[in-house]
Amino acid sequence: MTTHLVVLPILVLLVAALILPLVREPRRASLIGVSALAAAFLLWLALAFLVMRQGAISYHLGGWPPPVGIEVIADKLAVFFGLTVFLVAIPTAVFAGVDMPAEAPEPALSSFWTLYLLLVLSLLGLAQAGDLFNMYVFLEISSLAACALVAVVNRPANVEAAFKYLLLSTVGSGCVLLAIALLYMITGQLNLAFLARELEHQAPLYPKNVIGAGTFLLVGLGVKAAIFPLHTWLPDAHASAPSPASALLSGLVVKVYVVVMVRIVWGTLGRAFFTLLPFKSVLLLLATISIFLASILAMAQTDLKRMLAYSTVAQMGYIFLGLAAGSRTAFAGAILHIFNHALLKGALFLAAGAVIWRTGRRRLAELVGVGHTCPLTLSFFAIAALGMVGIPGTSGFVSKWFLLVGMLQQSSPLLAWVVLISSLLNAAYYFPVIILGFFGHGTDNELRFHLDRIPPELLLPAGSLALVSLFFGLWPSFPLHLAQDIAHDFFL
Amino acid sequence: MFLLLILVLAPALTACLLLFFAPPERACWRLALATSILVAVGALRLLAEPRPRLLFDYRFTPIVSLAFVMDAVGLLFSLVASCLWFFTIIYSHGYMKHEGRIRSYLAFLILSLGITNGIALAGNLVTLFFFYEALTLSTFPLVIHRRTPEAMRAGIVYLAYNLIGATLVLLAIATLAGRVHKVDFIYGGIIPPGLFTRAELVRLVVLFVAGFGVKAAVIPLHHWLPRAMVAPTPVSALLHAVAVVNAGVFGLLRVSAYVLGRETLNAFNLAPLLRWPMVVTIILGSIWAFRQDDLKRRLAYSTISQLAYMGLGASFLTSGGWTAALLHFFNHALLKITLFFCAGNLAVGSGKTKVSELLGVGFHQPWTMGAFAVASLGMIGLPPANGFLSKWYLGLGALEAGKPGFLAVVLISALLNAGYFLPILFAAFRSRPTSPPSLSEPPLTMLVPTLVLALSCLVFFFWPHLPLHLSSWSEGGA
Amino acid sequence: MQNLEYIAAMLLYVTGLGIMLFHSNLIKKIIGMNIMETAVFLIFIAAGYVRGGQPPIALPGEPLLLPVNPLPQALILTGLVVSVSITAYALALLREIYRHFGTLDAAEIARRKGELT
Repeated sequence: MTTHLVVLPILVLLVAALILPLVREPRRASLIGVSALAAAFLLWLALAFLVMRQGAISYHLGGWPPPVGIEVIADKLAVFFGLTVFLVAIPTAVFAGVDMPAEAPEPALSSFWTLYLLLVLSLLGLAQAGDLFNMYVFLEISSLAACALVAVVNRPANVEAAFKYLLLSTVGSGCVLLAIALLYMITGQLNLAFLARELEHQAPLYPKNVIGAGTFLLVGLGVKAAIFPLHTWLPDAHASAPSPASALLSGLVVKVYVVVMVRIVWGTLGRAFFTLLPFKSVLLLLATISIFLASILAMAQTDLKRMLAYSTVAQMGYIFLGLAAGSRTAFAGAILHIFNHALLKGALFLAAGAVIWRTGRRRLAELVGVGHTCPLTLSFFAIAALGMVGIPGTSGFVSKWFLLVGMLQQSSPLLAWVVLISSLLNAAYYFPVIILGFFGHGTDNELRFHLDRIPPELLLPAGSLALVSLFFGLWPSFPLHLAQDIAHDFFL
Repeated sequence: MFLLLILVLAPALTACLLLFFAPPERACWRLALATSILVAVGALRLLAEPRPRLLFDYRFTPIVSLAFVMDAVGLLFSLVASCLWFFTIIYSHGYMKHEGRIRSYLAFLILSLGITNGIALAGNLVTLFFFYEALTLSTFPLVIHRRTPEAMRAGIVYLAYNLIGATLVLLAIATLAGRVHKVDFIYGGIIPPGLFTRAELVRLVVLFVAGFGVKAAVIPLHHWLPRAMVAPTPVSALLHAVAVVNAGVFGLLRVSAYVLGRETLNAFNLAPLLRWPMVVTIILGSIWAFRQDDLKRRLAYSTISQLAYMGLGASFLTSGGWTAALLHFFNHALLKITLFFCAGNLAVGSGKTKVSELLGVGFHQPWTMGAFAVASLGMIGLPPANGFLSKWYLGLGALEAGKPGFLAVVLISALLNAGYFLPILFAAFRSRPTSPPSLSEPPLTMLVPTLVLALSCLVFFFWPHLPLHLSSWSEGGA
Repeated sequence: MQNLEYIAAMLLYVTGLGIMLFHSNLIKKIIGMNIMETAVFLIFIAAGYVRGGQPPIALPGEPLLLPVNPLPQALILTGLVVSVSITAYALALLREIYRHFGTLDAAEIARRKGELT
């Protein structure tokens, strides 16, 4: 039982996802969805305990040993990301139980839950993949499920955004497959551990293959993780998607590809790869442009969810910046930021979704004074936004601190300035929402806190994500130590 | 430890109570007053404790921890803040009768008290920074309290300047953390010799001076302060003459003596980086004060100028200079809050906010103008007001540092101070009206604090033992 | 001429990419996407080809002399299925796009979307 634990969470979700199309009634579908997620979460927690105690666990599908069989690895990176996935996906699922019937017609709802569970299981599968074949399959599942979630609501903007997302995403997958082909050609291996070993011998003989593979990986995973200039699909997709889907997409989906990149590039291709190709420098450059461009564009947005989407692009830039900065501390900060940003962005999108559900307004100009209608929700939004800006005491500050210290240790003050200036830019577009919401014009009477007349299924998920992120801002030791261990394993 | 809870957490809890549970207005006043009395008593109680002491420490990582210490400098700040807050609440009761939204005003006012105590008692740079940023956020609603377009604009400027300043401080702290692996406050500094080159130290000092200098209103980072005068007068008095700006100066004092340390500053000749901005601020602040007709704005520029005295004292790197800095920290708070309370009294009692309108107002508000006279004497630096002592030590510090030229700076600024304070007094008491004047003093809740504080300015001239003791304790390695 | 397959695959890839970039009709973009994917499949399978090789099927009693590498074939079969399902979904989306916007031209859709908001 103990080793089967590695694949059980995914199996539970898969079975539930396959049953769900048969369930017609929306309430029952949401109940099955949430319980499947809860069950999978408990299994994943058990797995996490095991991994923390005895180290990485390797599972051979069907009992076939690698390199013949498919290997599933549960190591700290997988456990870390899996915990992030569940921490965001479960509150979002509770949220979706009430929000989706308002956003999508009834026939679409059971498809929504199927896609939701498929997306979550594909994220878990990607984090755990020890084999390039496995990874490719889950890559495609995640792309398709994500696109379909955008288009669950049949509005013109959604369909167009989903199409663009699908096309670009498939190009990305094609590039990844091409990279796999190039690597397979010279090593004959698809299993990551065996690939790493073979590559040590083959890479000096076939440097062009490795360079080609690296480039295609960067482009392919970069499209999906929304690095500049391949990020153009993201604002439309994340802004038009229904709020629970936006939370998942911005919070989890864009990040799983970072995990994949870390596993393949840092974990498998290894040090020799970095000498062949200026991978880190290119990544640094693109990340910096990403951060600034996206922050500036976010300031120009008039729609709340579009602003949050551009903020995601900028924050992904932080993560890449930390990975490529060349300091172990910054690397740990980047890994930690995966966790922190997932929670924060999830909280932001859910709070925004609750406000939209309650007031029907999503344009920033219409949200002035919304603090009087939804004070509690806006407070949760404010807590999460403070986290994004990096006010001390929030989880965002912790990851930013590690990024800063790491970059300064490497004597890259320029990168440190990038991080700091962009935090100020973050403040420039988040604070007006909060300030005008609470203190906007025409609000001369006192602010009274009340329960917003928003159902608890909408309020509690946003609140719990915001408060959990605050908790991890004040007591960050658990995710921090995990991130530092992962950096120790993977840093180059 | 228990006192820590009172000083920092109790105000925060009260603020949450006021914000979330919306008690009726009278209950709000009582809660706020009770909390401020509790905090003031707690701060006074701290005087009796042995020093220095680590009050609380929670380690996040080997370098970063949330720590509170009680040493002489922190105690000084905490005392000043806690006691003056009590007076401000009483004063607000009279002043805020004309304003609305009392509940959120009191909530954020009390919250800022807790946060200021957090800054005062912070045991390392990270804790200081945490409360420093929090202070910006908690005082923001107070600045924009009147919700007029001008107030909102002032609030945005306030927020922008302070966030940028905090960012610069963060960069400096992160540099230290990465290289020195320690961010605690230890008298004499934490920088091992030979770790940094002079260029790196210059960069560090510039970052700290600029970062803390925003709150300390060093020119050219001072623009937010005059604009923030659109806030209600108790807010201006407390926050912008006592708490917020003092937090900036406190940061500078902590950095110069407890992080960088006198030896490092001396060895690399870094003191001029602190000294010259202070001199510019002193002179220019006083000159610009002349041009202000709005009384509160004139007081704002006077604050800008006076705060730089403290930085100047610290930059002399001598015992006399350090004493001057701490002494003026204490004295200026008392003097400035008296002056602002007088300004509020004038506004409420006679409806006058501009200097040009003050002709003969001394006969209608003799008590207020009496207090104003006392405080003005202190600002100029004449006995029997306590300001004289700080100027004395400042001059002493300049001589000790072997830079007698700065004596001239002190004297010139004293003259300039006289130039913009004395005319107010003369105008107020000129043109005696023919018939007995009607007294238009504001209600007692506003008048009594003003008079008590003015009296204290005199008292602390004759008995300056408290601040002097604290400053000598701090140098004894506290 | 040893690497004919690879050259052909790269030509296909670039052609597919060009179609995706330079044609504004959405159906043609889907076709371009398919051509790109086919190119990748071709590279993979060509990498597994052994010159003069047999299909990798072992029958009882017959020794397998020179099998072609079966692994790429398995992977590409998966890839083909994925490609088909993505094309199917893309075409379904296309039908909805046509229903909403009345056109399949990318530039025109962008213009009409701008008018909608």
